Amino acid sequence: MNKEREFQEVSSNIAGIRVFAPKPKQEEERKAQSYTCPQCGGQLAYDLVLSGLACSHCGHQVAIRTRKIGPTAKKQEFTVDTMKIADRGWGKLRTMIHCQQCGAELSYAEGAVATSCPYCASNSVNVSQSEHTLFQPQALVPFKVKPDNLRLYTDQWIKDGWMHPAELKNSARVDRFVPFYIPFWAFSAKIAFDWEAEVAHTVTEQYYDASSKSWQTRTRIEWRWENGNVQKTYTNYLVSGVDEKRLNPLILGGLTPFDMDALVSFEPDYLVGINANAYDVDLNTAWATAKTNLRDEAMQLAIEDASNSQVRNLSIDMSYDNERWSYLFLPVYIAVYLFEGKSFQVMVNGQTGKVFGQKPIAWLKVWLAILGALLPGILLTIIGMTGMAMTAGCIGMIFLILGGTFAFITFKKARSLEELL
Amino acid sequence: MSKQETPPIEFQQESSWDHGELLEACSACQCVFLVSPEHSKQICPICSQADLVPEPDKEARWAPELVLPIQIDQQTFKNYMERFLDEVPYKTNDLTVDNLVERVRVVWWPQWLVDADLEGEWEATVGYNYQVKTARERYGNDGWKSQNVLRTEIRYEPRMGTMNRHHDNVIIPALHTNEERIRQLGEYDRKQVVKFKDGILDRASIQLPTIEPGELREVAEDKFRLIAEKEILEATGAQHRQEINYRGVFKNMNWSKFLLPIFSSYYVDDHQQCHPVVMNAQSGKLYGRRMASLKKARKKTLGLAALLMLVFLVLILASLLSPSGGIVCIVGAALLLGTLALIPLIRASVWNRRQEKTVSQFR
Repeated sequence: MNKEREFQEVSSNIAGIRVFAPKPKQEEERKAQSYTCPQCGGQLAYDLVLSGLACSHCGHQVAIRTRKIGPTAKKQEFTVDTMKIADRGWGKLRTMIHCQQCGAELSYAEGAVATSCPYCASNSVNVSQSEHTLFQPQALVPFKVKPDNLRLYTDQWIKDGWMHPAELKNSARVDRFVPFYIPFWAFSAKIAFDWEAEVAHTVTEQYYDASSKSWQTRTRIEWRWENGNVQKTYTNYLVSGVDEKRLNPLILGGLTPFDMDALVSFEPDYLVGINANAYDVDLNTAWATAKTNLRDEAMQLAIEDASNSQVRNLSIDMSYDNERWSYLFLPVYIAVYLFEGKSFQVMVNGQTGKVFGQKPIAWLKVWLAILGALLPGILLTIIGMTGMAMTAGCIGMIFLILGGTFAFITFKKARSLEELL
Repeated sequence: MSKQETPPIEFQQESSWDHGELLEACSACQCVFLVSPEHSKQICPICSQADLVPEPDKEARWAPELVLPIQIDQQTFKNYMERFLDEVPYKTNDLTVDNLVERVRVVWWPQWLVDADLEGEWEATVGYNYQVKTARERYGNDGWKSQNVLRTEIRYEPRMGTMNRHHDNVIIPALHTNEERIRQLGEYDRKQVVKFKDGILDRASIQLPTIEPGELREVAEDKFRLIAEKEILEATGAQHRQEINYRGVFKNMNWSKFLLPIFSSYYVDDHQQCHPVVMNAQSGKLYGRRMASLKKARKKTLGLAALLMLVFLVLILASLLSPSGGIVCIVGAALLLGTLALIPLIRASVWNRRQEKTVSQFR
């Protein structure tokens, strides 16, 4: 009998046969909510220490009812209908809510999903900005790192590394961490591809050297065609939903990985008093980004599959299967610190405590290190070339190669850190 | 929607039908026929192995509801028979088109037609096609090229409902040999079916069912269940089925007969054994063993052997006249000619063995 309540009659193609289908799940419209303390009427907010809602006035605590879903979080398919909705974008934006505490009409900043009433300070959450429930967050990873520990992590991070100005350790202080839920698109897919390429094989052969009138050995590269088939399954491949103009994607990328086992079903309560923005990179754009990355990975996998990493004329024929997506919120603390009058952005993974961000580069230190690495090799090689000591020359060459490698790596790392700025 | 008790099947017989036909049975194949008096005690038109003998009468005289008319005329029958016998080597004297035409009889064989009301509930898990957007990507000298592809997937969903349908003339086998006969004679085109009228059977022999409706209740229910499942799938608009469970009843079952025509003839082989030749009187498909005459083949072999002996003697004489002629050549020629003489007998034996294993079908 319960079943009958869950089913509704639908059209039938044959007279005399009645057909009942499950009632479509009422997409629960998440109305904008205001949060006030049921005990004193004070302001309720998510307490990062208690991992629940707490009243800032009387300390009353409200537990959040949610369930852990882990990596099995429901994922959507790229159906033709879904993609049409995604193409249309947000639809009609719902940016106004009525404050249940004082009756004020509140306007949300574009993209923001949580705000505080400027008149009564009560917190509100409005995740239903999109008219399509499909594009409302389906899961999130709650904050695990307590705010008290953040200074510890960032102070250590400031001290790490030698490429930065010495004064940074003493004068830079990172504080005023803002907890933020960052929107992410998580993709799952299986890629399968056939590859074909010419692969380099080193062949050693003997030849007769007429000038020395003796047989010599030489090596040459022989290109041989190889092919193969590779399959790989990706789960929760993350692409940021925030426009790179707003948050540096390189810094965001440096915060990964997140432990997806900790995913919980989305509840607006988690966002009370915490900054959260809805995505501004749409599904199609994010999927295109993911696919670009997957292509690069496919090329890398093809090269790994070949018998030698030196390949040319590579061709790949790739297909996707079982593609799925989900829209998640992941926890991040964002902070800014000042150094020599300039501001630098730093972020902390709200789940693992991993710190990543901008740090000024002391290029003088870098160049001196590069010079110091190359100098012994250069000097010894010069000595060897002048004929003073052949052994020194040989050792110099080895030092030069080692120094050059160190210099290259150091320079690359410095450049990559500077790119964050 | 509660489950109902299955009511007993009701057998509603058509009006009684009696034009003085006699009830006779074959002692070899046990087939029972209604035959007109002029065909009484003749050879069994189905197996041709024994004459029909009178059978104690039983309640078998129901008029059929539907009949499939004969489509093959006498000339067409003759043409088909000619082609059927065309390739038989060393035909027995009795295996001629004229004999087959002369002995031909029309026999109507039965199937049951069942009507029923299907009432009840059903539950199903059925699959609907939907499309997902995917891509095919190729990398080559000119970089990556992406092509959008639509892939069809299946989404299975539960459905339930009720059924209140009436079905007419569902065919149920009336003979134990129904399947074999369809295999031998091919399917009939039932679109050409007509209502039974007096005189339509033209005093032909009518084979009676070997299975009575009482024994066929479960078979009929299974058939209706299959129909119900097919209709449920159609009603839901789904393209795939995972499970369909019809839990209703089959009410007001009404049984009647449906008659299909065959032409039956026979011929006698060397050992005076009769072989039936049967034709689907609608499509013309033929069935029967076409035995070669070993007697004729043996005669031909002996004739050839005598001829070859003569040739052999001539060769010996020739070799005596010219001593340089090799005796070896003569022995070789003798062996070769001896082998040739055996060909008719071997051919007829091989043909008959093949006929015994697989009966010839034509058209």
